[in-house]
Amino acid sequence: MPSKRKVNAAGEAIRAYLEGGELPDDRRVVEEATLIQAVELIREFRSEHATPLQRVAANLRYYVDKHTIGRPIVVGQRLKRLVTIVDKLQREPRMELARMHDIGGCRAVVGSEEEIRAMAAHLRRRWEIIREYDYMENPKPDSGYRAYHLVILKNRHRLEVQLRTNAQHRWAELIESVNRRTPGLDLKGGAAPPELVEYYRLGSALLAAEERGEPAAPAVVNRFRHLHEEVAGYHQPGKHGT
Amino acid sequence: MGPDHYFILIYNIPSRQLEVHGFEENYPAAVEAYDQFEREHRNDGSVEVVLVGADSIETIHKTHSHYFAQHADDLFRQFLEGASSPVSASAGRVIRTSKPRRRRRGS
Repeated sequence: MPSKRKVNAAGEAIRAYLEGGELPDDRRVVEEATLIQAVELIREFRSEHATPLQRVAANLRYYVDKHTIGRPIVVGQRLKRLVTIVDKLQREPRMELARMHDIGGCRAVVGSEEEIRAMAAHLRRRWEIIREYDYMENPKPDSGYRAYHLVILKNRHRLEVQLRTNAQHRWAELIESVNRRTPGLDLKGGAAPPELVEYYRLGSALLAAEERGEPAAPAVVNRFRHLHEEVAGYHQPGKHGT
Repeated sequence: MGPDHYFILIYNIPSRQLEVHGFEENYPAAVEAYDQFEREHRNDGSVEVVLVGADSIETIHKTHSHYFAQHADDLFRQFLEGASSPVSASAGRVIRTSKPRRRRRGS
């Protein structure tokens, strides 16, 4: 099992290598062999998350079952892709790799925000939770993402647990899709035309209001409809404006 | 409730084709194969490889739906009804799901 120090050193090696991106091979600060070693160490570190993640996911499924009577249980888990681990290292230059908390992640899709809050309260008494992110109260400012995230410690590994309502989940999956089919677009990080970012942010707010049974503000609906026409071009294949 | 089943999804972005490799409950084999598939596709930005788990592949269709369905869908339709412009639906896509394979470790 690689030590924290080695894991962090591997993260640093990857960062240093990426910084020297344009350098010819003989002038690189990080040699190819070091890089390969670092990548393999990160894979090893990722694999270590498998067992704790498996336990947490099974646990989560059990709790979701208790809280969602009569509905199918929607709980899934994933081990983070190496490419997205590397992207994150680059995006957050001061974060230590050993502290990256979403290498192992699981998510549950449940019926309502109240259910999420009830579940979070329940899990708080049972899990070692080291951080909570309430994106229902405070949606991500760049994108409008809504959900409730818990960072937990299991067998000395950090894991991320995402709790989403059905509408929050469908919105998040839509964003994943739009991002992927439009090269250069990053709606999650806010790297997108402002009208497109606003369109999805308002869409997220409208869905949240609808799910809570609150009426939508007419001004927001009108703005959303206006944006819908403005961004139509981005949603057609081959017309990506970026 | 039994233990989770594991699947590696290999998604080709331009062709929107998805390959699913199933490992049943054998998580160690899935983790090992994940590393291998990633190495295989390491220089190919048009392919996404991911290891997921759930009680069934049907649940993965829900938790990771963006690999399975077209999404410029009707999510916002109710807010657009009555607006001057028609709501356009996007075309569906072909999904190819390979026959699940079972892989086991040598020892």
